[in-house]
Amino acid sequence: MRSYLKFLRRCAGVSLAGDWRYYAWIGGLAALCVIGLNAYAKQFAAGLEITGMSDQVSWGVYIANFTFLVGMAAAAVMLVIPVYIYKNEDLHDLVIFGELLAVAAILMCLAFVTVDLGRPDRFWHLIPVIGVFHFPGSMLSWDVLVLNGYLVLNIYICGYLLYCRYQNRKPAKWFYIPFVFTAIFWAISIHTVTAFLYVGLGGRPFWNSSIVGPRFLASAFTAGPAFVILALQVVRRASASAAGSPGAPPESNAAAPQRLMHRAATAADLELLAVCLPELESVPQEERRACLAGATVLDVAAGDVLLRQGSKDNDAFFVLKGRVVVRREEGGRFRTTRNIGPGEQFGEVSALAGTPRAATATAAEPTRVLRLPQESLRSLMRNPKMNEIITWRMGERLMISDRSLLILRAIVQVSMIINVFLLANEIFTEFYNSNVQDVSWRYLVLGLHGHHALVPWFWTAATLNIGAMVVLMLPLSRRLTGLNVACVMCIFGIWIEKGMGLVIPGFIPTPLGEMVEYVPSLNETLVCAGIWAFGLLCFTIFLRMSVPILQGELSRANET
Amino acid sequence: MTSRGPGQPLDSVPSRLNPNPNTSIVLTVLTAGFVVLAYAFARVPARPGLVSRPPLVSREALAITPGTVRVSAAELIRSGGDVSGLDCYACHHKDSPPEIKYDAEHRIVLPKEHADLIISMRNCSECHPPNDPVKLDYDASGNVIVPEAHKGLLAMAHGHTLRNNNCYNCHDRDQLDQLHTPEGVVLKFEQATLLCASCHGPTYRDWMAGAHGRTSGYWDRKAGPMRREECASCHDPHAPAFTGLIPMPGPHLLHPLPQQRQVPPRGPDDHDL
Amino acid sequence: MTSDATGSGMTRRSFLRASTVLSAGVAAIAAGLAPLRKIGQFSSVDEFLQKYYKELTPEEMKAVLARIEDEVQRQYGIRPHVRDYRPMNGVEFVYALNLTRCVGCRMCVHACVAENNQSRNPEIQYIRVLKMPNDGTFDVDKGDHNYAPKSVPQAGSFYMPVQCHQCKNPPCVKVCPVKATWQEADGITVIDYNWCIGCRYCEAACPYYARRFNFTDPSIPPDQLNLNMSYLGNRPRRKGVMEKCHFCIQRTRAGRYPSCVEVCPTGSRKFGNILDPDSEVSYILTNKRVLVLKAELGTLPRFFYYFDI
Repeated sequence: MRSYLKFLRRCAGVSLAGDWRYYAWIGGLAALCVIGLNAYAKQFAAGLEITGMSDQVSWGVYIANFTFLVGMAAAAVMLVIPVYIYKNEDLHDLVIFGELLAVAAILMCLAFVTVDLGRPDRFWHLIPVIGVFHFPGSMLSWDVLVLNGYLVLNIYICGYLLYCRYQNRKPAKWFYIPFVFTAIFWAISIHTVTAFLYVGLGGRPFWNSSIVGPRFLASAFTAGPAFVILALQVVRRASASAAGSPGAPPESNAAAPQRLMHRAATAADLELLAVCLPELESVPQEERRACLAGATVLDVAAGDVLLRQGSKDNDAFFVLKGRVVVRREEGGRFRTTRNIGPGEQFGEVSALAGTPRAATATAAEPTRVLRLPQESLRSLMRNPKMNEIITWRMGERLMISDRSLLILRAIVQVSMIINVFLLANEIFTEFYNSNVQDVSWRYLVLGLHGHHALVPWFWTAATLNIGAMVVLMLPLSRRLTGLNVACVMCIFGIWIEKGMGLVIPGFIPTPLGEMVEYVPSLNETLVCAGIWAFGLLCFTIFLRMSVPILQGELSRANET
Repeated sequence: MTSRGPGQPLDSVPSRLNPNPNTSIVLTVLTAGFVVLAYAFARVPARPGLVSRPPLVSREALAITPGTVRVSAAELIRSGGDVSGLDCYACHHKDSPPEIKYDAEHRIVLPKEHADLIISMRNCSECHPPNDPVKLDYDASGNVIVPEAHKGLLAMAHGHTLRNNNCYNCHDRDQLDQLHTPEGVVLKFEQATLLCASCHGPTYRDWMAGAHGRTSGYWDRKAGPMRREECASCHDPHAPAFTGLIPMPGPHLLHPLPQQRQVPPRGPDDHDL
Repeated sequence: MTSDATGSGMTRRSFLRASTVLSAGVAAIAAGLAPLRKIGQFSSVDEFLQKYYKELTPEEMKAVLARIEDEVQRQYGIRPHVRDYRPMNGVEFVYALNLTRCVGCRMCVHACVAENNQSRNPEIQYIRVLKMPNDGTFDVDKGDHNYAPKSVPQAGSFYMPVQCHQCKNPPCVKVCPVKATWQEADGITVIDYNWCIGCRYCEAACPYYARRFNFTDPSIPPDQLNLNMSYLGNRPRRKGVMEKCHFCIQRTRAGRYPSCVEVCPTGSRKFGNILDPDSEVSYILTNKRVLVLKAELGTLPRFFYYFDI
C-alpha cells in the first residue's frame, strides 16, 4: 500500500514537471477551466434561461457535446480490438492511450450532463435504494449505469497496467484480460445506449429510426481513432528529446561497439544477471554454461554507444548494472523509447529477426552489459519461462511507429466510408418521396418556412466528411501531413454532424409544428469551453504521467 | 519532454524547472492572467439572459365575456321581473357601473345588449290585447319590416333563409305573450328552450346530456350541481349567431428573436414545403 | 538559481514561483464562484432531503405541506392552503374538445395561467391553441401558433387547443430516470416538483409539446396568487423543475371542473368521469365521432377531439 501511495505521489510530481510549453498549455487550459467554472456559477444562480435553450429546443450544445464525447469514449475500444482479438502487436501500448482518452472523455460527458441538469444538487435521487432509480424502464438510467461502469473499468485497467509497468512486473492475466474483453463489449454498449436515448422517443420522428444507432457508432469510430492519431503524434513529438541540435543523440561518444572494453562472460556474471532476472533461475545450469560460449561482458562509461540505429549487427544485450537509454531517430528528431535497467534486455528484436537495429542504445551511467550472440539467445528462449519474459518485454515498448498510425488510419477510413454511406441512405429515404413526412430533415438540409440556421452547418459537415473520406482513400493520406488533415476534417465534420446535425434538428420543428431556432448563448459557450479545457487538461496530465512509465523512466527501480 | 541529463529522476520539480527563460515568462503571464480573471469575475456582474417579458393579462379580462351571457326572458319571468338575483357582474365590473344614456326628451336610451331584456319586462298585453293579431308588413324581398315601436331594439337575424325571419314563426300571433312551435303547440315564455328544441333537435339532445353550451360547477354530481344555461341565456333568439371575440394574447418565446430575423406568422395558405 | 546536488529539494525561488501561480489560480477560482452568492434562498435542508412522494408517511406529508405553506408565505407574504388531494375511487378523467365550437379566443390559456399559479415573466402556458387551415389536414406543421387578428374565429380555419393529454401509455413517464412523473389512478399524470432533477428528458419525449420547464425562477404577482393549492398541482414551482397541465387537481379531485372548462365562452370543453355512464364525456364518446392526435404513436390519449354532429 505504501508503495502504491509513493507511486501516486511520484505520478503527481511528474505531472507538475515540464518545460515552458507544457506550462503554457496546462496554464491556458486551467484558465479556460476557471472561466467555464465562473460561467457555470452564473448559470447555477440564474437558472437555465441564461442558455439559449427553451421549451421548444430543450437540449442544446451541452447534450450535443455529451453525445459526441460518448462516441469518443467508445472509440477507445477500436484500439483494443485489434490488439487483443487480432493480436496486433504494433498497437499494444497504444491501447493505454486509447483508454486514457476514454477516461478523459467520460469525465467530460459526466460534466456536460451535470451542467445541463436543472437541479444538479438532486443527483442523489438517481442512486438506487436512497433515491429512485428507474431501471430498466428509462434509457437515461441505463446510460448512467453504463457510463459510470465504463469509467471505473477503464480507470482500473489503465491503473493496473501502468502500475505493473512501474513495478516492472508482468501483469497477471486474470486481473486484466477479462476486464479488457468486458470493456470491448461495454464500449459498444455505451454508445448504443446513448443512441437509444434518442431512438426510443416515438414522438420525435427525426430520431425514431433504426439507422440512428449505426450512424452513432460509425461516426464515433471515425472521430475517436482520428483524435488518437493526432494525440499520438503529439506524444511522440513531446517525448522526443529536444536537446541541442536535432542531430546526434546527446552526449554520445563516437566509439564503435567493437572498441569498447569487453571480456568473456563468466558464471559470476550470470549469477549477477540471475539476481535481477529471476526467470533465469529456471534455466538448468548446463544450459546456462552453454550460453557463456561466445558471450561477452562490456563495461562502458556514461555516453558510450552500445548499438547504433541502422547497423546490421545482431547480438542481444542484457543489462547487468547501470542504465541504458534507447533512442530512435525519426524524421530528424530523436525520441527516447525506453530506459533499460538491470535484468532487462535490448537489441533482441534484431537478434531474433535479423533486421537492422531500430534504435540507438547509449549508456546513461557507468554500465555493465552482457552481450549474447543470437544462438545463445535462441537457446535460452527454448526455456518456457525465459521465452515468456523476453517476448513480453519485447512487446512492452513504447514505439509509436508510423505503422501503428497507418493501422488507425485504416480504421478511420472504413468507419468514415460507412458513416457517409449511412448518411446517403438517410438522404435518399427522406427526399426521394416528396410526401413530406420528416420535416426536420427538410429543415436541416434545405431550410423550412424561412428558417435555415442549420443549413450551412449541415453542408459544411457533409463536405468535411465526404472530403475526409476521399482523402483517406487516396495514397495522399499515407503521409503524415495528409493523414493529419484528414483527421482534423473527420473530427470537425463528425462533431458538427453529431451536434448540429443530429441533436438539434430533432427539436425543430416542435411536435406541434412550431419553428423556434436555437443559438447557444455566450455563457453556454463558455461553460462548454471550460469543460473541453478540463477534459484536455485531464488527458494531458494522464499522458504526462503514463508516457514516462511506459518508457521505463518512471519506475520502481529509480525510486529515490 | 525536457532536456535532461542522464541519471536525474524525472519527478523532482525544481530540477525540472528548466533554466530556460521562457518558463519564467510563461509562469508570469499565467499569474497575471489568473489575477485578471479573478478581478473580472468579482467585478463584472452576470448579465441576465435574454428573456422575453410579455405584458401581463389581468384577471378581470377573463371575467368579462361580452355577448356570451345574457339574461333571457325566461330567466326574467322566472324571477318575476326581479333582477336582484341575476348576475349582472357576469358582464359588469363591480367598480365601474354602466353609464346611462338619455335622448333629447330625457328618455333612457336602451343599450342594445339589453334590448331583449327591456322588452321582456313589459307585459306584451299592455299594447297587444289578446285575440288582436298584429299585421306584419314585408318588404320587396320578403323580409319582415320591424314595427316602429320595436325598431332599434332588435335585429332580425335568425337563420340564413327568409323562412325563419318571421316573427310569427315563434311568437303566437293571437296571444303575443306566448310562444308556439311549428306544429302549433303553445308554450309559455319560460319554456322557450322547448321551442328551440323543436327545430334544433340534435343540439337540444346534446344540451340535455351536458355536451352543448357552457359548463360550470361540479362534474361530481354528488359534490354539487352542474350549472347549465338555458338557450336564450347565451343566444339572442332574434340573432342567435355569435359575433367574433377578440383573442387573448398568444404564446411568447423565452428568448426574443433577433431583430433582423423576424419571420412573419404563417397564414392558412402557407403550404410551401 | 541553483538546484540541490541530489535534485530532491525545493529552491526558494522555484517554490515562490510555483506558489504564486497556484495562489493566483485559487483566487481566480474563488472569484469565479462569486455568482453563487446571489442564490438567495436556494434550498432548505428539509427540502433537499425530502423523500419521494410515494414514500412519505402521512405525518411526513403534513410536515411537508406546512413547510411549503411557510415557503409561499415567506416569498409572497400571504399564506396559502396546500392540500394533498388524493385520487377518488371509481374515477377516470377524460377530456373532450369540440372543434366545431372552439373559436380560438385563448381564454382557456389565460384562465389556466391564473388558476395554476404559473409564471408570468417569463410566461408559462400549458395550453397551446393552433389555428389550422380547414383543408382536410390534421398535420400540426400547418398550424399557426401566433395568430392575432382583431376577431376570432376567422374564416377558413378551425382552432385546436392542445395540452397534456394524460395519455394511458405515457412516453414521459417511461423516460424519467428518477420516476418524478407518474400516472395516478384517476388518469392524471403528475409531477413531484421536489423530486424532479430537471434533465428534460420527458420534455423531449412528449409528442404533444405538453411539458414545460422552469428555465428561471417563476414570477407571480402576489395579488394574483391562487391560494387554493395542491401538492401535486398548482403550488408555486421553483426554477429547474418540470411542470404541465394536471387537469386542475385542486379542483377536479374536489369534484369541480377545471378552470379551462369553466371559462370557455363557447362551451367547447367538456370534462368528466368516463367510468360514469351518465357523464357528458360518456355521452360524447358514445355518440360523437371522436379522434385523437397522433394516434399512430400509441400513446392512447385521454383527450378527444370531436365535431358537433
